[in-house]
Amino acid sequence: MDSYSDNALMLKVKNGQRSAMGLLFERYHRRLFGYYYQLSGQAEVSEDLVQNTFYRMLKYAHTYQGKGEFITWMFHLARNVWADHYKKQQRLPAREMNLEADIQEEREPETTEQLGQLQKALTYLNPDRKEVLLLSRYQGLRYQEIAQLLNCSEANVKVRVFRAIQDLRKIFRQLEQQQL
Amino acid sequence: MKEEYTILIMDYLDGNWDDRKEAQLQQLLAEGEISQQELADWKLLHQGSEKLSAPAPADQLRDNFYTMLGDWKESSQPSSWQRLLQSFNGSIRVSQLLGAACLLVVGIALGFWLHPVQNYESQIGQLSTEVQQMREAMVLTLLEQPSAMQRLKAVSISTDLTSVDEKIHQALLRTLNEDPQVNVRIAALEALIPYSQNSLVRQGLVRSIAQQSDPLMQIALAQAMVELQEKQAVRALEDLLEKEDLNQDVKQTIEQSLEILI
Repeated sequence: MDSYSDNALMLKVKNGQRSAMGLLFERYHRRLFGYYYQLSGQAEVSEDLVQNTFYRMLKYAHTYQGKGEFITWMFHLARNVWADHYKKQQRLPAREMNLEADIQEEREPETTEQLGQLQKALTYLNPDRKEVLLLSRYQGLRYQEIAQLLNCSEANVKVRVFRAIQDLRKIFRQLEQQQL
Repeated sequence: MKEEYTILIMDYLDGNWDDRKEAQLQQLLAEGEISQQELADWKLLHQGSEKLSAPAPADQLRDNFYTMLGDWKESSQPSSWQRLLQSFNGSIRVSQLLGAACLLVVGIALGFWLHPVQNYESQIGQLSTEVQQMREAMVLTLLEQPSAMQRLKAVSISTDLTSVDEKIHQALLRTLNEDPQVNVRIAALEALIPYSQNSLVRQGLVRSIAQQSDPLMQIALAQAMVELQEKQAVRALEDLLEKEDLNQDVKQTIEQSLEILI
């Protein structure tokens, strides 16, 4: 095994070499932040949740076996962190986001507009559907990895992603009609 | 919509496609199960959800993380006994351990019966020294091998040595600076950190900062300096920051490290 792979680094953390977690942080903190930001729509909350996820990685390092992909284990903890946060809030995450700040300026106007609309539609999507869509499309996890996380079959993941896209389409069209 | 259609459409959206699936999709369209507009919308949303953007996290996130990492108590890590047991987990069965223990007892008993103990303490001491010397020689030999795996093995063996002389320190420092493989250099760094009380090792680690061009090594060394609280590394880290082509992640890690060290 490559001694600098995610798995090798996490095994080093498990064996007490906590500095290895620094490299994992550098590799994944932005990705986790993006995950939480798309779920919550709140930057500060997302930063706290990223910190909490790395805290749990340190706390539960002794449970890491290194048998599967590190990223699956990381997102397993990340999902638990999000579920705990969500329970505490006992309300839906923020519905509005600062779209202007989110959209990259170099994109073509038409694409930017559609992306802005999509970003807005996403905030109205059912949280469970939003999560599976984000894991698949935004985080780029493979269906097999998501299936492990959600404890279901790959076919079931595909169905869930598709249902999320179907729901998103309805919201997307409703928002379009409201603007007309 | 039937699940089989859903899988077909997901395959279409994912680009997992062939002529047979194309024909099935065309049939669905012809039969009115789905419309061209729906298909176009799904594709737009499927592709668009990959391109969503998020703002960059604040620098405070990095500060908070490294503070937490620094404060993390060693006591919360598993003990060496726990780690030993964990490393055996799944690979050695209890029956095998019991068998090995029985063999050991029988062997010791036979040894006592065949050769009464004479000067056993000095014999064991001599044996330990010989094993140590053999391991040191093995480390030095393996570090010179062309295979990166062999050199990694050498570094690994060096971490098992009970005491290490200057020859090993120098060989590991040479590996840290000159080995063509970053994995081996990282392993050498990790092997040297426990000997950081030795001034030769400490100075060697600081000097190595200027010699590394790989971002991963630069980050690992900066983090090592923080772990060792090596204030003499400040100048070397500041010099590294001056480099124009410095990787952004390296830059941030060094700035963070300097804040802690200064």
